Amino acid sequence: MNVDFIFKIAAIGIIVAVLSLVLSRSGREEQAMMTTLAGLIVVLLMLVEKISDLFNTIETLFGF
Amino acid sequence: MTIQICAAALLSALASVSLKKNNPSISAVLGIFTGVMIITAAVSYISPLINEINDMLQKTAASGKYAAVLIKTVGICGLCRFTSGSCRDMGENGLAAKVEFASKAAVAVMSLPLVEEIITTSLKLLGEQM
Repeated sequence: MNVDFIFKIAAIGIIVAVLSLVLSRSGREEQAMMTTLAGLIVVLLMLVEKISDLFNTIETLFGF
Repeated sequence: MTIQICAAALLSALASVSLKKNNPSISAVLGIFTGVMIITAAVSYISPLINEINDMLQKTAASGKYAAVLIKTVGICGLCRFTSGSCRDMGENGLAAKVEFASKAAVAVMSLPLVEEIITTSLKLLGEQM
């Protein structure tokens, strides 16, 4: 159980939201969109690793 | 262990709610991520239980083949339940229903040899009595 990752993702989300808000207020809509996309990709990369861990654990435990 | 899981779920729910307005995609990822962490913790927690059930079933008349099918079915159901719940959380009800259908199909295919065995046994009994 790793609670650090949850906080990390929440922090990334808040930072990306603030950056996106600032960029879109200063008239840079494309960069705001790109920032949101980059944040999402970073978080997804973290998620994919953990999902693979979970599926491997279930596979070994239940003998698929 | 349990307290940790409850605390993580509550914190993640709070963070997810506060992120939902500004950043819905990361909020959804956060929800799935917390689910993954909780299920991983729970699965590592119940692994002795699975081994115990396996041992107990092997001591009874049912052979290890049936125990393997049973445990595999539990695994498939848990995995698909988790996946369809995650899909439903993100508002993809159709995808969730399809995952559930796939899990039902997998369980039916897996338990087909057992049904066949029951039918063979009952046919044998009927044949002896007639």
